[in-house]
Amino acid sequence: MDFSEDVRLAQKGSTEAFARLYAEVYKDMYHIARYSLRSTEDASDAVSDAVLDAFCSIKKLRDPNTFRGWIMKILSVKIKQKQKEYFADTEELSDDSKISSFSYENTELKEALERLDSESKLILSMSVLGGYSSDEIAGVCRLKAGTVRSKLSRIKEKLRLELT
Amino acid sequence: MNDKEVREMLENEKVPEKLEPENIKKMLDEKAPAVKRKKITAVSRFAAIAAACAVVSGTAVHFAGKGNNINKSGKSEITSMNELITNVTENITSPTTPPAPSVSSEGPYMSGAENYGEIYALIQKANENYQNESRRNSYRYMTKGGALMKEEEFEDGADYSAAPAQEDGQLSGTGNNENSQEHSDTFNQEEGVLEADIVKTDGKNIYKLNPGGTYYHNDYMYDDALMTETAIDDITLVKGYNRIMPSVSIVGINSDGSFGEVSKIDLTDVISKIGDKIENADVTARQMYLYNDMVIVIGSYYNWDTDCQCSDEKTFVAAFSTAEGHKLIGTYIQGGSFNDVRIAPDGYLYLLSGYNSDRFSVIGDADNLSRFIPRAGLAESYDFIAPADILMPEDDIESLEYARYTVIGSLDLNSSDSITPVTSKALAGYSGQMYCSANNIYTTVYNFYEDLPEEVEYGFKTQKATESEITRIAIGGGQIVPAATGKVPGVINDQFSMSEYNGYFRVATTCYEYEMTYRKGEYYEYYRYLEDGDYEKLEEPVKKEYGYYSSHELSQDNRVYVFDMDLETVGSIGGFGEDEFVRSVNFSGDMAYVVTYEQTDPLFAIDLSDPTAPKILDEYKMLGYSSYMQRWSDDLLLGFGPDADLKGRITGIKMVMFDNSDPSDLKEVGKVALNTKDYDYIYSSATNDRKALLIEPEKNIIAFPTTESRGYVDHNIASYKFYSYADGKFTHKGDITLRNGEGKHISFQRALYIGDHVYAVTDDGTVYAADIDTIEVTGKIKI
Repeated sequence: MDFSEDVRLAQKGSTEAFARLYAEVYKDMYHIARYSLRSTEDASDAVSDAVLDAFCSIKKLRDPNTFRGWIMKILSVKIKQKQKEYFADTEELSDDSKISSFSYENTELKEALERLDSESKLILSMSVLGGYSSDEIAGVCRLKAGTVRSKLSRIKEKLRLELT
Repeated sequence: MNDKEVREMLENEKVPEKLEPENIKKMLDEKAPAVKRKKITAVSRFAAIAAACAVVSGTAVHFAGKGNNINKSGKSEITSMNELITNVTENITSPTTPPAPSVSSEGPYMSGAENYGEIYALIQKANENYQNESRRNSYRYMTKGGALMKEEEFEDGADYSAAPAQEDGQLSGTGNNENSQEHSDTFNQEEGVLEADIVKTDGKNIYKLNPGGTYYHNDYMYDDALMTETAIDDITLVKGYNRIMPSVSIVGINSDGSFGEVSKIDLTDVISKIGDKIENADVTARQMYLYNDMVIVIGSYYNWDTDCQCSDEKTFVAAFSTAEGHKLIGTYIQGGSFNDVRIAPDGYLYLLSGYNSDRFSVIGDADNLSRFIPRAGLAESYDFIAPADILMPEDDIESLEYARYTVIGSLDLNSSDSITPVTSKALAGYSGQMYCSANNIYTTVYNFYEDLPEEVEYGFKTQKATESEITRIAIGGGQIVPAATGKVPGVINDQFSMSEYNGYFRVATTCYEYEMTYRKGEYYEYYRYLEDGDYEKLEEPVKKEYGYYSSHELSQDNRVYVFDMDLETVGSIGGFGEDEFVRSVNFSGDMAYVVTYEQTDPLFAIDLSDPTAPKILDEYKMLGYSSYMQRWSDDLLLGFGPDADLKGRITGIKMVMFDNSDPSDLKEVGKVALNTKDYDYIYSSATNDRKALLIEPEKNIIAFPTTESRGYVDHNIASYKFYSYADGKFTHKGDITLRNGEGKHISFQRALYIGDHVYAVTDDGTVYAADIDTIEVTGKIKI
């Protein structure tokens, strides 16, 4: 996928081109956000906030081919901001109506997935959803690629153990 | 458990409708301008405001010049799409008499206004048209406010950012420098028509332009992103606005290639002459010349006035002496945002800027000249352009909410102790890509034809096609005389797609026609705008009706047209490179070499020796494409650009030498390909900034900058890679390299040579010196 032409247009202010770029990544963005956050609303907010920031700062994107990693980096900041709010606002925590989780038959897997810490969630979801490489994930999470690889295998190992 | 199970679980939930791309686009259209203005750098705000204006205005149509038959309401001279398609797909081969180049005052514009009141009346009338049109036809309003405005907005965006702060350096041939050594020069498209750059040398010194600007720093930004943008690492950024003064850094080069004294030209004094609300303004240096013992800096000034919700945009030219102390010689100011600049062989500088009036509703009465009349002149005498020099269309007043002008000013640089404005003219209408020969400036603007929309069950449908309008403006001795206009189907890639030769003007375009569909639907509004430009989240989303556009392409091909000097079509050839875009063009005498690209790179050799009947002699296909081509020798053409795999995915960069000794049998004689694997990447800024290339056949040097990342994206390696070419192959001579630490994104901007050394300049102002043969680094200095 060559993003360069659309990135160039988006840098000139074309929302249409940006929407095309976005179309390539939005499902991953949403699912990654959804997995790391409590509700569909929070996930939607994180994605739309990230998109707005990304569009407004796309001029800073030097290499169009890093678009995927770049927008994911912005999303990860948005997700972290939301997660901080959860800690700060304990009232919201008690509001069960705001927390909804996946509906899926495999409750064991669901619970195992839910139990992961937020960084692991991000790493896992980027890896399995978007097929991001450990290098790209490293860029987003500000870790070394090797660390990501070992974390990822530990996460998978943990899930496997919990499910057996 | 396996990845697939996890993936299925995580993807189980449907993505909310409001996150669907078309709804996100809608959200950006509504919100981005406001947010941009608040959060982003002033440079970006600049474009955002234009975008905002465009959205507000609904019908931001520029004045149509006489002979401009594009009519956004569909009443164009070419009345139907079919006719258009027929016209453009056939090769037009109507022979005409050979043209005689002439400068006549019989131009496409009326001779000039009698007084400012006349111009005001014209804008008023156009605004009435606009108001009536919005009221009369809500669909059309929707169209204009939606899809069509996107194009307008895009043009605006292009206007401001098309001359990206990063262009590169050159030096000028004048000035008698005793200690000057042989040195490289910015490559000029037309011999003797000088092009500006951000790094220049006179063989004694290297001059580097530091753009400066205003950067907003807040929690939304990542430090490294900001550092990337400013490339200044010795400044501590604070939260809020950070103003960095533009300047020119200079380092002397000794005859043994070592570095001499470092000095700096500070632009603070100049800036205080340019605007009164300087503390809020964003001032950026854009381009530079060394000419006639002067350092000439071209920059832009931008200020957003929240009181009147209007902007103040100026372009300036500041000349300094190259002599010690760098005395300020003069400051010239011209209204509007910087577009492009050239110095003609006779020593006159021509500056193009784009000026937008305020929206008519805030102009008030006809005495508020500052709101709709551009100004020009030396800082001491900066004043409104005389009515007679404001060239308005004779008829065909369309609807518009604000007026646009292309302002062209000329400066006499023949004396090394003064700069003297000669003429400044404002031509109604916007200009995009510009090309300049020794005697003519060609400005272009592209438009979209639109058929009348047809109502269908789900909304509306219409067909569109691209068309560029070209204006020839005769220049000489500082005079500026609009001489002819013409139209050509398609869009023009860049200045190299145009060429004047032997009394003919040739242009390569990409034409596309597509169908726009408007689907009605509804969406939810989650935010409400507040008066201060901020917005807040609504407790309950509000349902709104809207529609969205989609488009699909009907056809796309590439064409070369030949015009006479009256810009009447003499001949053309089309239909090649179907579904591809023109990526680069090299006109060389009677030949045109055109690279188009979608998945592979056909290089077409087109013979224009009979202007009435151009013909394709050969087509050479390869992977990737050349984003720039330059003559290497009589029989060799150098192409540089992205490399790609079979699927058309960009994988890296490549450099190719073509043997064009027989244009009907093009051959590849040498290639360098630097490709990525996995998620590493390699990228060269020269693929979209040709001035970053150092191409010196006489010295047998080819150099280009690269950025490479291996794995961890925050660590990258920036290099200038040097090659030579002989006997059908490139030889890698060596690299000048720097390794970026975490969070740093320093990259190389330009390379040049002086005497026996090459020099590479980074965006943060470090100059590396290396031996011209071995590329062994001999020194490094921060300037």
